[in-house]
Amino acid sequence: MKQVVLIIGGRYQSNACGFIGEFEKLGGRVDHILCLKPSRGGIQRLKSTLGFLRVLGPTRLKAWSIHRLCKACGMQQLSTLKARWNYPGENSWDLLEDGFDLFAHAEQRNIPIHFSPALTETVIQRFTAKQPAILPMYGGGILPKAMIRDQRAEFVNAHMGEMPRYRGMNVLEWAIAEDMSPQVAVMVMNEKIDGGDVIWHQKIRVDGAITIADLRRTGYQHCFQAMAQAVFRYQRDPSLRTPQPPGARYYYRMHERIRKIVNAKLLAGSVS
Amino acid sequence: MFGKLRTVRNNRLYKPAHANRVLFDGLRIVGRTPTTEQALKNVIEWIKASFDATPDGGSSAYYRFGSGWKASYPETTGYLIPTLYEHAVFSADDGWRKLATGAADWLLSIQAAEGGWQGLQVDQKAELRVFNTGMILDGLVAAYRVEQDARYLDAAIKGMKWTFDTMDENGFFSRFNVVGGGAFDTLVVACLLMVVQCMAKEEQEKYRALAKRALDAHLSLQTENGWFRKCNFTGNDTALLHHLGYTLDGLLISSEILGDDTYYDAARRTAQRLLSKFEVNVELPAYTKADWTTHNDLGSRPSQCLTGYSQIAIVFQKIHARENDLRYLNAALKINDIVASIGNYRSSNAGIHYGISGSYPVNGNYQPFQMVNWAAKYHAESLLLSLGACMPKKLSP
Repeated sequence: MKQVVLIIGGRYQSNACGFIGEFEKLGGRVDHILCLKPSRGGIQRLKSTLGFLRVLGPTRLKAWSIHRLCKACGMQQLSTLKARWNYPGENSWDLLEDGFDLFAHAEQRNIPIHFSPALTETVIQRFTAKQPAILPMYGGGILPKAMIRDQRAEFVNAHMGEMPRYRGMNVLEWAIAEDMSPQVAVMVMNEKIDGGDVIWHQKIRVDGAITIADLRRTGYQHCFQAMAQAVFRYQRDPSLRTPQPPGARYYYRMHERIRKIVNAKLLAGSVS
Repeated sequence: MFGKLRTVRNNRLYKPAHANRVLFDGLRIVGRTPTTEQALKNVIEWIKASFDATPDGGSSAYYRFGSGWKASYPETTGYLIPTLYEHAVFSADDGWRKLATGAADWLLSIQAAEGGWQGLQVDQKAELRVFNTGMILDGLVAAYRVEQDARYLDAAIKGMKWTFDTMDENGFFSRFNVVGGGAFDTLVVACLLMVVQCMAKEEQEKYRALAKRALDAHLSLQTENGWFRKCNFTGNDTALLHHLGYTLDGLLISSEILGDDTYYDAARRTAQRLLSKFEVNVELPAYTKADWTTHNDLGSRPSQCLTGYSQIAIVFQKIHARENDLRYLNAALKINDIVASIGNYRSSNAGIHYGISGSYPVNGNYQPFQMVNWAAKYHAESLLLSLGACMPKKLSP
């Protein structure tokens, strides 16, 4: 059976706790935890200490001047307009609470924790040299092609949309906008964005009148539940892995006018 | 150094109104995002100023920083007419209808005996031009539909026949045309079809067949990846977003009038590429190369073509209306917000006040240092479309 190596980036502790909790409930065991933490070497420490001086740097001064100019003239930066469609405050680290202290939990269960400043082939090979691994991903950014092609390392992520119908961003909201039932898909990552082989699909239950933030919170919870189910079952049955059929559709950040429609549907409790 | 000084002198950048605009664009500072209704009010105010700037009933082609308002532009006055009629209905203000009718009357007064209209602005000597004539037909058909005055239709039919007569044996409009014609002439065909559908049924068949021949010929300019060759008035090997906009809208309107999905499908193929290119970067470059990569017209970065933006927003809204695919509406709304914010710029100079520049930033390669009336027209039309206030180009049976 393949080992399970959990990868955690800076802000994903709550998702990781959720995954471990659900995975252990099913009887699974995480073999290693790999924490991605930027190195805090001498130069970085110095940079961080003198960080306040950056305010006086030309880039910061320019940004500050532009900000003041916009305020004085009642205008905005084009980047501010575009950032409006990012809807801050709705990421998992904003909406989910840490279930428990991950490090204390790992210690209690004898799960070795490793630290690395970045996800590299060498780091991964340290885990996969003896035994192939399934690597549930919570953070870690875009993976280099060579790493994805490594047959002994299967990086797995959960996506809040049915595949291949809902690839891209804000897909949970897009499913509601299109009167489809929202789902989570767990995939083995490949070179295409959201194009990996699917190992698990799970419907997201939406109960009663809720807001988009509630919906996303529920979605994230379903994500780690689905991830636990998927990894547990896939460890035991590799045939679960199936390529996505054709017909992929990509979605992008949602404009507020369409978001209003989604919000109205959710608040009316008409989504099931 | 001298080049920069020349730019300052030629574009009168020593004037505060001009310098401010260049400064704000350079710093990527735009106005607050107005509501759709307010954005429409802004741009229509500029369009009115462009009419007020000329003595003949036409709309000034553009406000150029270096030389001020230009003379009336028959081509773009033509396609401003339907937008003015639509705005008259939307705002319940008959003044816009009078402005549109006055513009149509002016176009009748400058029609050549052969049936076509001249290229360029009215103060310049230019031969008759197919593309310009086509755009004027759009205006005359709108005037006929609203005013029910046969003079407009008669003039439009005469113009339509002249245009079809210029068509070459391969189905292209290579004679009497800008850069010998190109993919953008699909919009000429669409305008010809707008006229044809107003004619008696028994007369329509011949012209519909000719239009189909022309459209099929122009479809051969579409490449495998949905890009279009010969899609730039300067005849170089990049496609300008504005001219892609003409091409796609021409295909969509033609498809609607002819009831033939071939042209719709072709337009959609290109639109799909534009949709993903826009959404990934939340911007579209003014110029694209044959493999859809960006052409950097400002050295290390591209400018954006605001006319093309609004035209693509119109195309996206039409695709959404037909397929109910919200992704297209989503992108169109974002584009409208971007153009409306860039245009939400107040100035003591009427030429700049709420004007839409040819390029963003204003010193981009396409129509540099100019507020152009065709950018204002397409922005207004895109906003009207999003408010559900545009008249369909196809006549109801």
